[in-house]
Amino acid sequence: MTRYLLKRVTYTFLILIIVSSITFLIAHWLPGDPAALWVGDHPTKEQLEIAKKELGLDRPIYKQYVSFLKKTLTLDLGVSLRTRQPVTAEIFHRSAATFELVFISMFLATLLGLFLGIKAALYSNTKHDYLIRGFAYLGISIPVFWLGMILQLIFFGVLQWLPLQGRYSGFDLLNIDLPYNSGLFLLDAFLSAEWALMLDGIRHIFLPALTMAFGVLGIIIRTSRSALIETMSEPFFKTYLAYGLSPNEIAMSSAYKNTLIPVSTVAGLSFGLMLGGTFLVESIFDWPGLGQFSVLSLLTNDFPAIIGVTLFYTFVYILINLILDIIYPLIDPRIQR
Amino acid sequence: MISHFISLKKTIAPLAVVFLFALIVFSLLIPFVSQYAEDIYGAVHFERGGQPPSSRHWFGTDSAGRDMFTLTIRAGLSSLKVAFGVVFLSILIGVPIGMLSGVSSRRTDEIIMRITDAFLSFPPLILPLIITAALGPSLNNVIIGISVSWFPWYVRIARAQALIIKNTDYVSISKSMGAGRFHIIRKHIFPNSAVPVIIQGTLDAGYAILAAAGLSFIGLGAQHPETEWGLLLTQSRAQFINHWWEGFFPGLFIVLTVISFNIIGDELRSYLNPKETTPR
Amino acid sequence: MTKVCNEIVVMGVISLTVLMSISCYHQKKPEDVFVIATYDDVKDWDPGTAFSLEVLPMSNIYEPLLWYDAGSVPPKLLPALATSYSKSADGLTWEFYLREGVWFHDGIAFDSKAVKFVVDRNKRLYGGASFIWSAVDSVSTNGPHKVIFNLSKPVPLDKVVSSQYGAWIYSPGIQGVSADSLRQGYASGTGPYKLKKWSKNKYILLEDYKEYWGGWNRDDHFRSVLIKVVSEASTRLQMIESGLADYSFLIPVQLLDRLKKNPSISVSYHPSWINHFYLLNTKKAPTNNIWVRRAIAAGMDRETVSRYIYGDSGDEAKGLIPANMPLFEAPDSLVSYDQEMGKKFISRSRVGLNDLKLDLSYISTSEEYRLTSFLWMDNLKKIGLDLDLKPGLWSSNWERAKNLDTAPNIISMAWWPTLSSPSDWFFGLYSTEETPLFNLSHYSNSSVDSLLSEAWHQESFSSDSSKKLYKTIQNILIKDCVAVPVVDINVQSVYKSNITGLRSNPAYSTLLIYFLGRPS
Repeated sequence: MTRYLLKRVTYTFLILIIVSSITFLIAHWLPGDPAALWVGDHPTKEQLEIAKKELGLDRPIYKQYVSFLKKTLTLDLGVSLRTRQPVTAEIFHRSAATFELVFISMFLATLLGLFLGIKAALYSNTKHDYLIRGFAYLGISIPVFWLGMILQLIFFGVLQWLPLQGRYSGFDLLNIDLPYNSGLFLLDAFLSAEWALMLDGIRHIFLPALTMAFGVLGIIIRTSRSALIETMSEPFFKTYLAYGLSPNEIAMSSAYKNTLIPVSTVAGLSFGLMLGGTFLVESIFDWPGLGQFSVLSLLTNDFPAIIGVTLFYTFVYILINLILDIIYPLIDPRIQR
Repeated sequence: MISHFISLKKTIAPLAVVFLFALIVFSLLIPFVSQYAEDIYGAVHFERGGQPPSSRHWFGTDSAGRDMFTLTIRAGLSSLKVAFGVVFLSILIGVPIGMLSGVSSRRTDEIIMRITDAFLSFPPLILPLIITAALGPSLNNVIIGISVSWFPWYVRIARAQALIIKNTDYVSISKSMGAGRFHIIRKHIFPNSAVPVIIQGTLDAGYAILAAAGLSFIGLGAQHPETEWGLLLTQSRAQFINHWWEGFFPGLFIVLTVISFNIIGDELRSYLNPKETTPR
Repeated sequence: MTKVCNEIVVMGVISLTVLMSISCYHQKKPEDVFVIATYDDVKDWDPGTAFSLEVLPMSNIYEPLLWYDAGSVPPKLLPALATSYSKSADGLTWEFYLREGVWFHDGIAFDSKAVKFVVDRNKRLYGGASFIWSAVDSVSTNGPHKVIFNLSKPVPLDKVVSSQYGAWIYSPGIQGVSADSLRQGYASGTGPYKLKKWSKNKYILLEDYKEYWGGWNRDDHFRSVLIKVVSEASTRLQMIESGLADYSFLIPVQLLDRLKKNPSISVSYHPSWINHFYLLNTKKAPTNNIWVRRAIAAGMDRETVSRYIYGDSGDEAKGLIPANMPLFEAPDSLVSYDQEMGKKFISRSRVGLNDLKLDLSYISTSEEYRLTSFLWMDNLKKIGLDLDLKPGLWSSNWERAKNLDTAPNIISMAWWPTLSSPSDWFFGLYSTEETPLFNLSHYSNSSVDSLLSEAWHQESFSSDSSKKLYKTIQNILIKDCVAVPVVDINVQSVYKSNITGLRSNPAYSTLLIYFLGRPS
């Protein structure tokens, strides 16, 4: 087990090095002169030269690359050319909004996906199975940004039930300073027992979370369905059936465990899909997170910010997959490595 | 009741084929058929802007008075171009690398696979985003961007096939008869990889359309006067709450097209090799 | 078998009911607080260099020597910290008589030394709008309530001291404030409101200044002002809808219809000194050819643009500066929309067909710019010009446009003046610059330069002759086809209907809360 762990961690580290090299190379192609972006309004020739030195752009590319790697290892991602704040700080204070959204969507998607997937498997080849599978097809084929727009149209435009965009209505700052300040708005409101604020937060996160969840729902339904169907063909299932238990009871008591492995594999992938989805969903819902930040950075060629967010997202994605790899043997002792 | 659904299932794959075929035909023909054909090339008519769907404008008009039906149908061509472009380019890069990796020494194989894994370690959509931003916004760069992030899947498939076939008897025999590495690739591995690659390609076409639409939505993809569904959607945003039709139809066509590709891909898979399932 | 569906339906209904049931949540807000929802924060707390959104809090905290009232007809200068002024016949010496008994928020007395201090310091800092003082040679004091400006050339100093940036008189106490505490938020002026608290990127809290020299005439005036930074447009919308904000900036156009139906909210447009236009690059092919530039101008259908694209928010331009600007006189003619004429211009240009490719960069977040570009592109195509659109954010568009290698042929622009003179446009956009800042046409014409400084000097003597000179300058620029004017902007105002006292003064892009109140 320790050896396996060690191997996985070394491997992850290696991947991270390659990933940062790829990112560095691509970002180096970005158009525009970073030095010019940096000095801003009144650039004189001398200022440009100084900026180039400050940003290290006067050195040969391999030297820039080495210093980039060194800095990255110490979590120094440079300063955003657009906002002039350290990229690490920007990522830190924006990531809470993004993770709040991603975790809630993930929770929604897994819960609903497992539920529907298991139902579809239990009633396989019935009307309900077809309905759920059709729904899953829709899930993998629908562009999340379009779904987000349609939901806005229905719930804000027509029904006027939910807010269009944003994270809260804006009364938080009027005269309330929350005693808890983790950046996770819902959690803070909950801990501070500000129920009105929390409900307001829920009303705001509902549509973006639903949109994000829908984007991965299809995969989770399909995976859990096919995993359970496979399980149902196994001898133990037939034995239980012979004891007179209904498939539903067997699924709820033991068979669902066998679907957990493939579903958690897919959960890792879904997490990645969601991170990619934040670029689009956060722009539509005006959600003040990392996705929105990176889209603005991309449109202004703010390369330290682009590299920073890319590395951060990739790191998180790799980490989640590493954790899943490590907990597989714990879920299912049959997997021995 | 159940038989009804089974018959539906049987008809749905042909329906998907018909839909895609019709989309190709109509998107090619629309410049000659539509009375608003000039809108495809950037003509605007503000005096008839923002009209809801009617018998004259089936999908309504946008703020610039362009006929949304004509634009939406024509945009299918861009999306299909992306789908084929991405699949073709990914196969072109991925399959040779994968086959080479499969028949190479362990060490070379290991290096190639590690680099491939690194490409797959980026969360989906991020690599295409930064590559397209680096190359400059255009539909062709979107194709390049998505392909560069997607070819590793084909490396994996081709390598897996190569490994299976490398160890079969008839390859060992031809090896012992002195056949070179490239001979083996050409004569044995390549023909055998074709089936899984085709299946994967069909399924990926849908992904490519979704990703490209996302990039255009952000502003990194197709540019006016080109038409593309993601671009039409982003152009509709400023008035979407009041003019639902501007964004509804392009989105609906994305869904229909991607569903069609997925259905055909699934059908192909269960038809060509019923055993294999690789959910993504 | 319908169980599955039922469960889902039940779950959905429950969650929606919960969400619905709380949708009528409202929080009470004190009546005597004026809450403004704006989109970005103050970046620079130094009134000597602040040159952006700072105008909103600062124009309530600080006062200039004179106010320019562009809302009255004809526009006039009103006494502020100066009660009266006079100038010498040669226009080189100006005397201002200062208001007595005025104290800064930090307790220091307002006097002639403070005025001298401010002008000297602003000139020394040389940041923001300090260029407005460039003609001032020296400032001297004559007793505590008289200050004398000596100029190197005659300029209308009364307009300079009423400028919306760079002319605020602040307390000399700023000398004792460290750069760091200045960054933490600092302000000491003579205005009706003083800075109470600033929470970076969250809010600015102002409180009424009890000893304000003008006194508090309205008994329903606002005791405090909360300027909230709300970057999300939709949140600003919700704040005004729910009554959490009294005034909101930049509400997206598609949501205005909804607000207009709400009787407790007023939506109005009023004239401003902002205009939208396009600059043509005079150094880059093919727009370095004047006939190509004229053909481009002939492709701009201003009428359609103002009617269908801008609607209430813009009127067709009549010149290179907004028509409601003092000293504006319409130029002899503008290049009018005429495709046939455009084609003739193209053939006169003798530029090869393959070289008739242009690019236009515009601000991608603006629907108006986008649609205008689409229209222009279509019209230019009919004339025979191939236009390539380059949407982008302003910062990157500007970056590229400054450098000739990366500059587009055409760039979208919006301009508003620092001080109330047409010269602001011409100095900023068309006068010769070695390294272009806003002269994004890369235009240089020595006769425009000299006419311009002449016109600016004349403003202090004769408005008629300077008016004529500004017209001549416009005629030259139109003949050289450096810019394509499009619309004069009307700015949006979204506020609670129970607020009274709002009036528009295009000279300042701000809200003067002193005049506002909420009658009960």
